[in-house]
Amino acid sequence: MLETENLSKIYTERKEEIIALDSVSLEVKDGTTALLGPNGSGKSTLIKIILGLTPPTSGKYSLFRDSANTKSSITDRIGYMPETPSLISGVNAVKFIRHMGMLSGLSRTRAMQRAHEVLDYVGITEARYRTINSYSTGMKQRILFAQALVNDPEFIILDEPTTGLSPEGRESMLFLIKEISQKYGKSIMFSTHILPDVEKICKQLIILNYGKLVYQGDFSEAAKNFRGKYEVILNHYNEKVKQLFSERSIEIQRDIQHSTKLYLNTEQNLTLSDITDIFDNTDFKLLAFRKQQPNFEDIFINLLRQKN
Amino acid sequence: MVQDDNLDVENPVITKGKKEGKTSSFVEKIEDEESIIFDNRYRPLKPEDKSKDSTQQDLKTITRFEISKGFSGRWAKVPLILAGFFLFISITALTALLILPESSYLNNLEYFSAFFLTPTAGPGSLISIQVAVVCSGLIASDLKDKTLPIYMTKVNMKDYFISKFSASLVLSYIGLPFFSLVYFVIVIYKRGFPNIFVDIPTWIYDWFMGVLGLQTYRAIPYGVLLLGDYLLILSKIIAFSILLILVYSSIILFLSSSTERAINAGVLFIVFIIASNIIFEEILYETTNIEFFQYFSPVTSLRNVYRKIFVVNLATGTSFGGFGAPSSTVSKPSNSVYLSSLLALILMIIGSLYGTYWNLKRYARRGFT
Repeated sequence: MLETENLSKIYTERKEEIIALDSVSLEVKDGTTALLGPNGSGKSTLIKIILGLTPPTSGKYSLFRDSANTKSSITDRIGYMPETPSLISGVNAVKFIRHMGMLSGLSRTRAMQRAHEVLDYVGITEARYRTINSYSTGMKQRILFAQALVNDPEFIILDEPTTGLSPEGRESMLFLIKEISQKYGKSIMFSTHILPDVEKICKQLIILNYGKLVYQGDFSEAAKNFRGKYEVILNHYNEKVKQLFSERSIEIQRDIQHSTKLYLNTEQNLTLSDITDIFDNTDFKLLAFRKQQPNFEDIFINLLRQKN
Repeated sequence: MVQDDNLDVENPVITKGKKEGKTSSFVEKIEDEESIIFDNRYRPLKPEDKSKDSTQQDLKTITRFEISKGFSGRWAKVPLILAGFFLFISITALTALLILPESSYLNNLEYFSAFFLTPTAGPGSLISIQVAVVCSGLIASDLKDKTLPIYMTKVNMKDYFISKFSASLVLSYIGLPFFSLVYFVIVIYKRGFPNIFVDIPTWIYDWFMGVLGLQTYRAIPYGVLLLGDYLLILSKIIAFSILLILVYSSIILFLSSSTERAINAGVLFIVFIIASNIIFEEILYETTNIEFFQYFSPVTSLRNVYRKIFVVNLATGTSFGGFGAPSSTVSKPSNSVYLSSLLALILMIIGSLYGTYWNLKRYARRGFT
């Protein structure tokens, strides 16, 4: 779907160079891909380059295996939902979507029909005739999603689609994204800060940090390689425990409710014998030890740490 | 990978909703019988639905959309302005001209038609306010709404720019230049063409009586004899309107692309028009007497061209309520002043359009942030 090779982007502001993307080479396959990274990691810049909104400083990329990337060759096949609620104020949802449909090459009549179809799909029903200014954040996000679907694209890029939504709104947006990908075969790349969203709907991950590619691959692969979070229960606790672990470069965190329950953060692969060795010749007794099932947040932070 | 079972894509949700509306009978009927079901299945497009990438269609679509925005909304700007101008015309010039003696009819037709285009005084000075109101938001509102990235995924920058410029031309035209033409047409219709039921029988009767020598023959106050004069006046109105609109539209477009607030662009436009006149004409030119300075004011340059083109120094003109229109003592500018003014205006148009395009490009270079 998308391939980039040593893609770099440098912005110059007041004679100061800001590296937004630093030699990023990646491949986005069909299906749903999450684009992750902290603020300023280069996610939006990558999206803008792919959409042809800003040219890369160096490197190349190809969409749909077409290295020419001419505007007309990609606009028909790509849908874009921007991060901010970018809607034309003073018009209603139908007019807005129809306008975008006509700019996508639909006739006036077909664009009107299409506007109703996609608004039905995203669940904007009778409210579609109200002016956009009166919509809630959730409705604005759904209208933007409808706008991204108006030209029936093969590849949809969503920039922070669930930001600012209520739990129900988020759930409904994730349902739509998952459905459009799984049931209707659209490829989706979406950037987000909300990690549980990724867990719910994405198979592939791309993680950027400081403009560099940190990780690219399957979610399951990332989880398999995860090392480092363990739970330990001792018979009692004092400062000596902290010292024993820090001698082995293991960071500990005490449970708030159970004072003798500890969480170990480490990049080492620990086994039961490693832990028992630590407490040999001390008065501490190991009551329980288990490796924690990592959640997505753990994996994400772990990958960022590894790369740093 | 943790997949959420709640997001079951195999069982799509059917949303039920009741149609809201002001007219009760239809709605009540629906409510009594059944709810409307919104079918929310996704429907792919057929290949034949999409036409080939067409710059012309993009231009037309954006231009039409912007114009229709001017006509819609709670405070539809264009109809309000049109209503205001129509009232203004009814009160001032139209009535006066309809009762004017035949002898001064033609010259006054030109005078009053051009009256709406005076850039410095009279009703024409309102055009800057009209342009500020209808055009200030053309690009500024897209910058504020952050819709430019969406536009840029569908059209290229050049098409976007040209379509906004086209929209500004049309919207600027709907105002005094439009009324100048409407006025011209109404007066010609009322005075220039015969009423077949009243005027033609009267004329035949007069002619017949004249032939018989029973009555003195009266000149025809209307008809083809005046066509050449009408066309000349009409051409002057159109030519000056185009120049006026090009200058004002390009300046407002530049200001609109320089700010995210339409109101700022509008206020800046009016301030620029007034201030440039004061600074370059009233201060720099008057104190130094260097002609070069006065051309920097679009109003002064437009006035020079206006005076050269139109017959405005007529004594009869002011007798019908001149409203500050140029008086009979004003002489036509020399050819060199006229050409310098024209050149300055053309440079202003090119400079403003280039500035607008540069602003948009700069915005794109910064990643639309």
